[in-house]
Amino acid sequence: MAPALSATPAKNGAGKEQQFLEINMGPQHPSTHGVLRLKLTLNGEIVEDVEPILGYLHRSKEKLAEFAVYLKFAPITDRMDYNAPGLNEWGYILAVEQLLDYQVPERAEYLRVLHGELNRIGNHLLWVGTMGLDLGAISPFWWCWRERERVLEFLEQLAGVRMHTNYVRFGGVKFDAPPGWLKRVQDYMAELPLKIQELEDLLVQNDIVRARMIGVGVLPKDRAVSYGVTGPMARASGIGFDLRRYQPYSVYDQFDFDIPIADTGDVYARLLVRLQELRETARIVDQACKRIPEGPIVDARVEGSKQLRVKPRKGETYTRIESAKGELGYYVVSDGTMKPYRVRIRGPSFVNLAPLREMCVGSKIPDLIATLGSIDIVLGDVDR
Amino acid sequence: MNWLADETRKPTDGTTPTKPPAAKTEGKPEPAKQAAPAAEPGKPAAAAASAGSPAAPKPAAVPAPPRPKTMTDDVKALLEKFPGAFTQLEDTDPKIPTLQLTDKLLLVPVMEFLQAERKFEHLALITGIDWKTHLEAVYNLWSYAKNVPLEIKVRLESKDAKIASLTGLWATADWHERENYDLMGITFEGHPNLKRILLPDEWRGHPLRKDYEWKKEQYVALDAKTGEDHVYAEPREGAW
Repeated sequence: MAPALSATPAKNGAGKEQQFLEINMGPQHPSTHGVLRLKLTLNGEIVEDVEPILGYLHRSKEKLAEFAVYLKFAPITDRMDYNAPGLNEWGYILAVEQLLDYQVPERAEYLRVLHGELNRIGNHLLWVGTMGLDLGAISPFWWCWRERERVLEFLEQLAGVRMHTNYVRFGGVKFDAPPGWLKRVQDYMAELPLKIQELEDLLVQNDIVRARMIGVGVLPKDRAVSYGVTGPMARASGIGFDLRRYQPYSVYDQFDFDIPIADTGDVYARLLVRLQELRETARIVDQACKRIPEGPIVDARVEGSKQLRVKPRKGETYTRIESAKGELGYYVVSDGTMKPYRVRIRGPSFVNLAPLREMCVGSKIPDLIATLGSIDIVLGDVDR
Repeated sequence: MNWLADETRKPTDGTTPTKPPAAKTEGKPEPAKQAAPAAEPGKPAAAAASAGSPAAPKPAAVPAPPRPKTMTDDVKALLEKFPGAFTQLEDTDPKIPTLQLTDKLLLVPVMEFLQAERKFEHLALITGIDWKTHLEAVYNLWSYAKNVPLEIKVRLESKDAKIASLTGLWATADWHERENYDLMGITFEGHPNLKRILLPDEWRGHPLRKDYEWKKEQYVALDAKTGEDHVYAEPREGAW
């Protein structure tokens, strides 16, 4: 932590003079998961006030979008939420497709689902690992990393790249699944629930984890709604909403999956929801591997270099998908030329970070770290 | 700067080098024929007419079909409750009923009505758009109870972009409004803490405005003592 900024004298209830300490946590601090700066006002170990200061990773993505043709913005979106990059580009492509009239072949839809859900598994595994790390437990981190490596290998076999896959295209996807890939993924999906069980055994009944998580960072349901919180964090606060179920896009209406909900709204509930969501995601991937039809992978009208000359009709769209962290929305305005007129991005991490102050004031610093970790922020997505 | 689009550049792979750029096909006098390959099954006549001609893959230039103006219960209720305050616009894709609020002073009562009585609990996004002649603030709402979206647009003057803040209704409006103030320069009146959120406080200009001089560099330096950022027009030591 950086040195103290100032010591402000204040009066406590007893009329005795009291020292509040103002201190910077971050922008270089391991538990802020990136370059987030928190301006803390401390009363001893008690957090009196938190002010998140953003913008250290601001790369002006919304402005960049206005300079390049539509396709060239897709790889830039990969760099927003870099824990689940595939979902970002999917959301963007889906938004622009609302203003185009291409038919996505069904095989491509299934490949998009596989690609996106593998990204979601990678994201949640990373979250479980780093959450343990925030609490001082290092074993879940290695176990999660081992599993995440398998997922990244699958992505590499599918798209040629481990992380920023740049795989989704207008009217389809870039590559077909290599021979034997679906079988390998399906085999792994049979194995994954056992690994999740191992993680659960390690964490859920662990006394230290329970002591550090239960009742910490509580966000009640009405406040979660007011703060616009979405994704696993909202589901841990009792909002049983998932865009894949209630506003189905792609082929999600064909899958059988449950939406895990908890109602306590604390850090522990977020852990339980995400662990259960890993299982549900594995179910979706398994079903997709079984049902994927044969056929083309991209609309013939936009094959190859025609992707670069895509020209949506004049109009606006607000399209959103359920990303690993919540509602990822793109408001795309097209003026009928080859470049977007305006792209506005709703980063789920940005919105989910806002209630941090409300969740933390009055708690202790270690609880603040647990709460911050439980939100699952990625600074690339917060600052964009 | 090769990420900047060059619209006139030929495709690099050489497979379709002679095809004219898509932009030029727009001037053709037969827009109906272009619409045919992209037509939905709802237009059998147009589809049948084009069936004879080869389905030449037109890579781009999808002409705009008229979008519907979906009338929902919520739209009806709004029009009844605030007569004359709204103009219904064409739907924002995908099928989001869109209303333009003509009197921006009514924004807070309208949103209060939507939140309390029409059960639009979720304020998903606030967007600012610079249309060069004017600005536009766009509010995207979602109802968890009914699973329907709604969009409200408000027109603002470029020079004097002011609108009431919604922080009293939704806590999430706080950061959304700060971001729009920061990048688009819309002032939200009544916001308790309206300051820049992504850029340093001293930054000059609002980058997402179309008249923003993005080639003019600004340099940011961190004051190690206070931890605050300072912005300079000229390069200097410790600034980048």
